[in-house]
Amino acid sequence: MKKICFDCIIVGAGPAGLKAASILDNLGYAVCILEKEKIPGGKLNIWHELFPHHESAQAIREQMLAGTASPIRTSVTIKSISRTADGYCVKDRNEDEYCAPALLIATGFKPFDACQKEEYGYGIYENVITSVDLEQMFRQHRVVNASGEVPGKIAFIHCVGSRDIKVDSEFCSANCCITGIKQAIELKKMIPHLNIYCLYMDLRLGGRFFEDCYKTSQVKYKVQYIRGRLSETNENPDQTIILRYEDTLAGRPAKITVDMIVLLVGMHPDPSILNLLPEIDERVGSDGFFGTGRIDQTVQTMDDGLFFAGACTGPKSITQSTDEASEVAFKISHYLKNRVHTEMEDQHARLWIRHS
Amino acid sequence: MPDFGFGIHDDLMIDHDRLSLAYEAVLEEVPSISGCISCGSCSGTCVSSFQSGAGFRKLVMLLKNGSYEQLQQALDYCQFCGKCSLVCPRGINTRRAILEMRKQFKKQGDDMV
Repeated sequence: MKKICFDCIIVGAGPAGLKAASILDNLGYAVCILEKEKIPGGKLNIWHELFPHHESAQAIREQMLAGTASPIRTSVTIKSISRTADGYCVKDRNEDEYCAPALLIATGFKPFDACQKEEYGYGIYENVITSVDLEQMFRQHRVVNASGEVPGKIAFIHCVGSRDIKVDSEFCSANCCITGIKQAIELKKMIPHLNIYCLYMDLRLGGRFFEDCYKTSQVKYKVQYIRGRLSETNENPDQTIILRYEDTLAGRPAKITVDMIVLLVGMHPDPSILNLLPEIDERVGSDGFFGTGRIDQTVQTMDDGLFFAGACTGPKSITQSTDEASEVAFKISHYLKNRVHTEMEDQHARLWIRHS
Repeated sequence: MPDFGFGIHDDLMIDHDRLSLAYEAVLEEVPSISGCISCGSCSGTCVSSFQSGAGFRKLVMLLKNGSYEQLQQALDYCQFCGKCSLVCPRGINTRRAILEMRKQFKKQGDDMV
């Protein structure tokens, strides 16, 4: 049980947390990062390659970790967060206390729980997996179906847990389309004879080089795109999966039988930090993510030393997360400087009163 | 008119200059149909789509485009099972919408609506 003081505490050692830390400690602030997992890196630890350039997630993680000299406390379970006159006090399960005038929440996102879409068969049929499971297979350099065989036909299902009122998430996760295309290319590189089908509603590829990735998947890797949202899945006795959907371009009901299906799960808000800071309820959007998402700065900053960055403020790619983290790091610096000034003015004011 | 052995069939162009009055009428009763994103979940799960080739998505499209003749044929296949409303990601009240469509094209002896 000990109490340590810093200039800023960052909750979450993912891309956003690490980026903010690297800028803040370059600016000379004492920063501490708290991470609930055993190792820092956030979702980079469960990903193999990153879109759109197929960079190694592991290498990017190393690079980000090398970028910051701040201490990272791992396996930290936060018990309570309290507001004090000097800022925030974060207490963990070992009763250790971390105090700082500024607190940055960079807790990221939670992949959608695909079991909620029961009609897709995740958790029921063994050959129905998610994009997160597939990344795990990539990391082990072994993609096989439930019976241990190399698949010949795979279908990717877009928008699982996105744009769906039935699972209470009407927003678009923005990164699953490109993730699916990236994974399709990786699969084709591993298993050249594989037939891949992508069942999509709309391909939302707004990021830089995303369209190149899409075109490469079509022209070089012969990935086939079918416009239609999956309606239901059924399993054959040989554990292959039958998909039913409408080919909306042909305007006719359609089916396909595949060895495996990959559900491209959406990015969902992680509300765990909310339980610790119940009074920030008003800073949560209708989609469950933090912040207002507005351009107007006056409605964005509350000037209370609490900041948010990364995928906890909405679905984001790594570049978008780190961009936001850099911006927020400078806001934090500004806040800390202003605070020192007001403190000094207060002291002067007190001196003035005393001497008069 | 001599018979040349071929005819000119009807103009297939969709005329978006002309308002679909039936669509406006259905929209008034079931405003949620305006939220259709044409994903086709409804048609993929539809028990009659295998026969009719149409699902709810197509019905809305035909209604919007004023293709009333095709729409009336397709409407006859609906069994009102409601599977389409279960899968709709926009939560459209599909069954009610189909009922309203059928009211628009009520035929004699059609005691269902």
